[in-house]
Amino acid sequence: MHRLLIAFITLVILSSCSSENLPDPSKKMEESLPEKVAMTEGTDNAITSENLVYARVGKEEISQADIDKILALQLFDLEWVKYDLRRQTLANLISEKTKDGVTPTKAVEVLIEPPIPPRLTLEVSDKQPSYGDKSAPITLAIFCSYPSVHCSDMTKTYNDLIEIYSDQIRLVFFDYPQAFHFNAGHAARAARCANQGGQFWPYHKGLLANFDQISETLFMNLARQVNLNMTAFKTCFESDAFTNEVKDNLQQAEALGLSKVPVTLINGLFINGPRTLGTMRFYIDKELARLNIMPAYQLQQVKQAPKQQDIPISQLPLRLEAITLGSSAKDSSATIEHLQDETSRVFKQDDEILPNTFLVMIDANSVVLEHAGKLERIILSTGQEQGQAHNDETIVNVRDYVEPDALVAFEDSERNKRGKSLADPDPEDIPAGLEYTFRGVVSPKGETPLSRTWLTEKLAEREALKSHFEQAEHDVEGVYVMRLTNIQENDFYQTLGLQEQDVVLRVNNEWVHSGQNGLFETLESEQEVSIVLMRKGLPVHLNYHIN
Amino acid sequence: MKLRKFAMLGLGPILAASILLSTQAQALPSNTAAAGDSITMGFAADCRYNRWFWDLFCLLGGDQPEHSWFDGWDSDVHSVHDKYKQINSTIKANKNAAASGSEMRGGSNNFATQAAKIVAQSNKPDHVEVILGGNDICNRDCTDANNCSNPVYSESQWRSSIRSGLNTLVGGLASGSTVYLGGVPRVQDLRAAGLAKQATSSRIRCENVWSSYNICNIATSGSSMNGESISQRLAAIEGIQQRYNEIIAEEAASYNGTNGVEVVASYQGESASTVGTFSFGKDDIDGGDCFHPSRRGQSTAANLMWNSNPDK
Repeated sequence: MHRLLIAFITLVILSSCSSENLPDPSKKMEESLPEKVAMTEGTDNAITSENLVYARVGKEEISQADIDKILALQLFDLEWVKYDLRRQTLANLISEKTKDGVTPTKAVEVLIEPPIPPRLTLEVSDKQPSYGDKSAPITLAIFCSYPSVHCSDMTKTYNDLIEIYSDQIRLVFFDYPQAFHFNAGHAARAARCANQGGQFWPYHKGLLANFDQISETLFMNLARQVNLNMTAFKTCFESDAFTNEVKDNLQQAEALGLSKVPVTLINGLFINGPRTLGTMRFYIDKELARLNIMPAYQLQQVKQAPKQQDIPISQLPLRLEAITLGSSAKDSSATIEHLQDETSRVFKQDDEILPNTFLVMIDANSVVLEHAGKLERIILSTGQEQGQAHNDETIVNVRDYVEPDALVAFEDSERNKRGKSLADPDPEDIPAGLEYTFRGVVSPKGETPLSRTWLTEKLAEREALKSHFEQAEHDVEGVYVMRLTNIQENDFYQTLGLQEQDVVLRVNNEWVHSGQNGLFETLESEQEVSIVLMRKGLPVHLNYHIN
Repeated sequence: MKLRKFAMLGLGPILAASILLSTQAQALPSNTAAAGDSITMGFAADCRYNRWFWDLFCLLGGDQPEHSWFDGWDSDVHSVHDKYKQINSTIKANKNAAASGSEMRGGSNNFATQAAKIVAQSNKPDHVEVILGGNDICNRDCTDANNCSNPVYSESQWRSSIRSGLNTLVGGLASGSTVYLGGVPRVQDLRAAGLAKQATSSRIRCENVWSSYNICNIATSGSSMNGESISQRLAAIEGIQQRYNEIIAEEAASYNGTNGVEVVASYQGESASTVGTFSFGKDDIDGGDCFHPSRRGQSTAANLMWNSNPDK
């Protein structure tokens, strides 16, 4: 599999992928596609069945194709259900076949792929709030309603995609306020007013971070925090400005046949509901491959590759069995076998593999070690490298960015949702023998913007702010947890989204208790701040970006 | 129970009717969904203690879907979905509409909202299970409306909330589907169970945790609240919780058959062992917040829901 990847990389390098050949997503997403692709691709099967006539009305025939065209989105949802069912069944079969240990799990190659969604045609006007360059080959059109928890959850995914694909991605936001979401329409208009002031994205993220507190108070607080001209913002919000724009978006969504949020169109490909980062990457990679463009993260690897050719092949008794490439070096790992004792272990960057031998880099088909102060390279084993003969017939080259759902086929995908956050402890600090499954802290919802100027002004009254913390009854290791009181009318705590009786437990990766409270110092010195608290018995994780 | 569906094209109405009558039989669902709260999300199920900071990470970890009575995959729980899969491995389950903190009536993700999310699923479920209501009691400040501004919901408020959700479900699910309503758990047992639990280990302090984190104060606080003593409150909650379950059963009977959707309540009176009547003890609640079902409690909930499940 990795040979194919290299061949693909080589092909793409040889064929120039200059940006002037790229489609302009701001016009019509479908322009670069073959005719008739839109709305039918990947939805259903054989031509003969599409031509089946289901009814005649006078002389007019109604075929399966006519019906399927109308039902394209629903039929794709069913395709997804079928895929999901097959994936789960596959997982069971694999577990069955590997449970006796005769066939090792490392000899399993998972090939199932998610179905390709229908492609929708969407007009993108310049009025739509957007992030990224118009010439980006991938446009993510996002339909959301601000009070939606699922839209809030997707914020981190979109941020991660921008980090991974850099300038290859453009986000365009569309309002799809849901009727049952309180204040959704007002939130949409407020965000448009922020857009008019040039602060759409921080404002937008702030709304999603506070999806459960959508109110006019929040609209005004956020406007202040992103340094909007308050007079202009209020005037805009109190007028009918942008009402029509929001309605237009709503109509666009309905005309496309959408029924819920979030929906992401990846160059028109219909991605329904909240999806994992891995799933989004799968479709973006597919789309880039269709356009003959190498993903940004692979380009980076290719740029590094020639340098590695100069690194000598290691003669250490090690064999590189498999590589898992994540979105960053920290998320990547390599399975390396110690040939002397024939044991295999998974290593990450900076891990010590042998005494005085460290893993310094992982790429698509090799790893670089630092051994006794010198760099050495091990290439992914095909059974012949390094002059060693191996009997393994199957090599697993796991790529979690390509077939995400397939790769969690062994387990339920819900087990793999969380990433590390600012509020998590360092992994090496986690003690052995915990009586429960360590899950890290609950995922944050969005990111609230805070103005440094405003914060500095408020923190000047630090002692008064501190007085709102009171010692609660719960004693932990000799200290007491701290509860907020009398903050209903307090602008500082309200803006932070904190509520009466909240028990603040962590600020970034430090505990807060009667013996220490780093909230104010952290807000003063850091640009990214994370607070984890208990509210009515449930954990809440708030993130802030200080401008 | 489901009626198997037949294409009627080309069949005379009499023939069609006779086919339908002759094939009434139990049928397994193909796609199940749940509406629920933190119980359904498995919150805190494997948390055992609360006196060390590392213990608190268990609570801060949030939901534990693997321990959900509905579709958890932990073998200790043996969820409803796992039980279904033993019969037919292709039966699907999702609790996408459920969320920790949800109420039957209040909040942004109440029964009506969850019902709307369920019927909006493209692959609509043909079997929906519901356990909601604990938070509707726990989030209130008094049992007598004369004593505070946030009293427990009245019978009519409770009934209308059930109707809102059921209207959406019977209007949006396919004919032949089933809505299976679990009961409101006995939150009045919490205090006794928690006190018994904290007596078992110096690493568990239920009362301190309840009061610090504002966990179901109406049923856990030993102090007077809004002029109501704990004994008064627990006695009142006993009556309210039972009445809420009776109303669920009444509404289930009233909606049953609407648009061909079967609506069934698990609650069949106080003498039958169901989610609404099960009197839980110290081992049925977790040791982190002394409030949510432990893995054993989740397993019990799964068994109780399964026992009177009409679709099996």
